Amino acid sequence: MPNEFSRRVFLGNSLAVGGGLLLGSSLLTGCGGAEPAAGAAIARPTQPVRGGRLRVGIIDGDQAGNLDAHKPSGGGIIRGWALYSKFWEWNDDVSTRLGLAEFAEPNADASAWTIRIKPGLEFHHGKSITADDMLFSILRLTDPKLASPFAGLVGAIDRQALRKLDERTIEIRFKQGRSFFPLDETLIAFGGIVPTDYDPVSNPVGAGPYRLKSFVPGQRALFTRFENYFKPNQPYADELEIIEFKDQVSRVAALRAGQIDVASGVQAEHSALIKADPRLQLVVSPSTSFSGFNLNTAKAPFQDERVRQAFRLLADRQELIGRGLNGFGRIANDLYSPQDPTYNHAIAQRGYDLDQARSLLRQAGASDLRVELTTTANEVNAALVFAQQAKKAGVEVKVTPVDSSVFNGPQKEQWLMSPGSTPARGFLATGLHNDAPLAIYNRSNFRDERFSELFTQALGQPDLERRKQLVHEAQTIQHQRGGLLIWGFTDVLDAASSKVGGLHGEQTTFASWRFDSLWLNHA
Amino acid sequence: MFNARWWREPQIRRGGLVTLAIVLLALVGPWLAPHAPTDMVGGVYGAPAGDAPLGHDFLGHDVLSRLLNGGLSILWMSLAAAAIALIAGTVLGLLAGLSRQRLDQAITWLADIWLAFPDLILVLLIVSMLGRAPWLIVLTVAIAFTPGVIRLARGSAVAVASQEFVEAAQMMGFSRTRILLREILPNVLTPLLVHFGNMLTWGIGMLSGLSYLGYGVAPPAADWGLMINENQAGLLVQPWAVLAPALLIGVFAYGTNIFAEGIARHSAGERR
Repeated sequence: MPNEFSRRVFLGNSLAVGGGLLLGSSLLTGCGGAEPAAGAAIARPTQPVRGGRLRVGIIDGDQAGNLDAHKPSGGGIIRGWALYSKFWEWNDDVSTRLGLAEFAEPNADASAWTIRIKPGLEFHHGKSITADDMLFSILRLTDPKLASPFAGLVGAIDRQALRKLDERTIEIRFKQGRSFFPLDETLIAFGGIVPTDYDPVSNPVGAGPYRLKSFVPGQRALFTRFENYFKPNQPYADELEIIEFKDQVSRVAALRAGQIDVASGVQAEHSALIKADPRLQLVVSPSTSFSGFNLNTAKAPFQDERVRQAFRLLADRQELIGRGLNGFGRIANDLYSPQDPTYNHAIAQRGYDLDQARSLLRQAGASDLRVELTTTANEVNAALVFAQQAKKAGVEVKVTPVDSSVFNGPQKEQWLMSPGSTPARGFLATGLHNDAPLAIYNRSNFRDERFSELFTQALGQPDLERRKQLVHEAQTIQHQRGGLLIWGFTDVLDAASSKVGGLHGEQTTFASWRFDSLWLNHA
Repeated sequence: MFNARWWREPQIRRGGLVTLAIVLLALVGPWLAPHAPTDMVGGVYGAPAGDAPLGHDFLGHDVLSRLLNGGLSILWMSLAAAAIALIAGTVLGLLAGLSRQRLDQAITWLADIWLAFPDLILVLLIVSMLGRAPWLIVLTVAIAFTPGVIRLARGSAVAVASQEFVEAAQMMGFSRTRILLREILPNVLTPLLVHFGNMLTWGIGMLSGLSYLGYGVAPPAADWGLMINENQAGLLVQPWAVLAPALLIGVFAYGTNIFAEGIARHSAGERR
């Protein structure tokens, strides 16, 4: 039968078509036929322009993504930057400044905070913001029934002792009369102020720069400008659209094709492509988010301080930056938060010293060591590089990738060795994420009596100089016998059309989420 | 079993040669590779150059070296999975076909239930629960393939068992085992062999898919499916790290598929 359609024909044709498409697409990519010639860079306006629809591409696609101010999932954290405002905002250098609040300060021993919001503020639906809404928001975040994973950061707040002082002022006290200084850094991220009639599904209103128009989980969210935003004349765009992509390659393609204006958090692999395209801009934020490994101090062989030290010495940090982060980062000294004014800069940078590492392992009776490094697919690169480095010291590191849900599941603090990273924060807030007493993810199980004592004292010490002394000693302990191997600080890369203004590099991880500052030259 | 006349068929010859070439590449490749598959010898996503004709990958490994090392896993795993499924499925299928009683009903019923699960989902479910050890992956893929073999072996056995030469053997008082091995098995082998070729093709696809989805061979092992997964972020800057393994997987699957289909056509022609 001459026209017979067989599997062979189908397979042959599919191979030819598929191969052709793959080859063609890569060749076209290489040619970049539709691009303007290099050097024909588009002039970028320097003054904010109002109007237009700003389209931001994020990596998500989670059908369970939500808009919850206090328990965001999927891209909910990014969407929250459009919908919600907080008492404080982040400065470019990861310090905080007042946002909705006009006054927010602790008392002399940090056992109570008084917070007063600016007058005349209102939510998207027109309701004025009052102390009741402030209390409601904090109570909702810390509500055990909501079970927000971020509630632990402000777990010190005594829900029963929250007090309304007047229509715009509240007082926050802490459990067992404790002192808690870093309230700003811990409440800022997920402490969106919402009205008492708030519901994340039926009434997702806040006081952020944009109000919600429509939201399809896993696909896109559309917002319109909130005219009564607390910052005069901001935001600039008429509409904001947050579009979800499943993968980085298709998102970069969409950016290059002009289908989105901003790609938030692009992969380093695509930096050269973006830089070479005069229609685009690549914004590098040298953040102090750290990349490292948790060495579980509760399990052998990491119960032995010498093994932990050896592991830190056999990490070739420069190579980890080069291969694990594609060169976009800076080496770290096993300590976090170098931007914090209390950081101990006197501690010498730990170098790569294979001989000393071998010697320490011999002393610990662990010369022929095998350990398992459990990781997620997203963090496998640095793990593989470290495994190769460890081989040189006779240590076999078996890299085992698991699902994120498994990695962060009930076993999350049981992995022998696992990657660790935390967005840029101050020392105390980062400690509460990682290795401090009552940390929300203490994967290294570091529980040192003296360190805990110093950290707890620092939490209640508002005086900078006194706090600095406490933190210096705490960091000396971390550097000497802590459970973290922090090898680098990560640069965050954002890409945008040249038409986008207001996007600039900073030390935080969310330069491209500052939707109230971004604008579009839509002329 | 192997029929020398098959080789005269152009389709079988073509499929066989393509498959043989890939098998040889997978077997000999590790000795030809200029570097160890885990050696980081170049820059991240380095472009093809004289010392690295296919460039470097996401960590600076030599793509050619990983390509030459990466075929063995998919080869032995797909072969092992197909072979286990063939043996287990044939034994169960023949038993069912000959017993024609409760055993037949039980085996057929179980195979039908098993067939109702989509293969890939079933394998993903088991591997994600129990881990990604190579033997487990092979066993799981084999389990997914076995019901198909059972159905085929049973159907063929039932058809053969009703033929006169089998009835003659029964009347001559030969044992059931002898009838099974000497009379029935040789006559159902050709369709089973064709099915084996198909399973090999599906196995290649399924194992590559598992590796691509992150449930197959664990890094830092070199594996064609895993290479696609690892390097997809660099597709736009260094396409060869994705394109080369994808091409080899495609060619391997193409070869086994047209080989199996060639045998099927040839056998059908002989029957006519």
